[in-house]
Amino acid sequence: MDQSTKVNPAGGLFDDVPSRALRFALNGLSRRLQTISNNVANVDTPGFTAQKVNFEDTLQSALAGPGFQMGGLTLLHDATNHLPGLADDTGQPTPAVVANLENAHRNDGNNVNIDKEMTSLSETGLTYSAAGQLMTIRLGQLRTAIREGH
Amino acid sequence: MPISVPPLALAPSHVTSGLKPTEGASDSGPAAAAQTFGSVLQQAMGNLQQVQSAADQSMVQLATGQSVDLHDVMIKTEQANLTFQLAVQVRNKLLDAYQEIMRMQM
Repeated sequence: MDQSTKVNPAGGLFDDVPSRALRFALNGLSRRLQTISNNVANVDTPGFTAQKVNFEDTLQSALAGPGFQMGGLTLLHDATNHLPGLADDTGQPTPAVVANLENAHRNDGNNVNIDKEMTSLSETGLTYSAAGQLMTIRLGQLRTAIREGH
Repeated sequence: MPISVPPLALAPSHVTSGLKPTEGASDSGPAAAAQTFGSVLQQAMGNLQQVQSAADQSMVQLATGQSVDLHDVMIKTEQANLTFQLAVQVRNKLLDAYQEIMRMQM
């Protein structure tokens, strides 16, 4: 990937790395909540295999990719906004829903573990709320800059 | 008569404590004061940059699911937000001061 890719002037306002990472995470968390609900609704369905969403690994590998001037999570404010692996919002694929094979299948072929789903539900809900608030604060900061503090 | 410009309260005290003008500076008053003021401003900007980076980093750590304290992320983000708002207000005041000076009849 071209390291000298400059900031896209058209979408530059919301395309900094933390904002994009946060939006990607919000998508993933929202998908996870839906998946948990679906799992819980199908706890008695014979032959149903529980599902899960994993977006953290995709996000982390995108962040560690060549789009960053420094590896890992050290972010510079003048780092290139190029994040390979994360399409922009218009073409953003929803994080993949995959089969969760961690739990053993019971006699009816169902492997939904209610306790695990409930735990995952509260943790995901909390993180989702927090990420939403962070997005709000971040956008509020932009608003302050635009209004010059008024 | 030399003009002494008091350092801004923008930067935290550990930044401004080392920046007081030396007593009996041989430079002309305004030059020495301007140098100190400029360096205070620069340090304050550096501080703002640092605070923003720390907030960004903790935000990304939360997004990637790493074990990070939620309160830590929220506090850092809000601190960065407030520091930024303070910087904007200081910038507004500086602009007002500049315009007022430019309006003066010579």
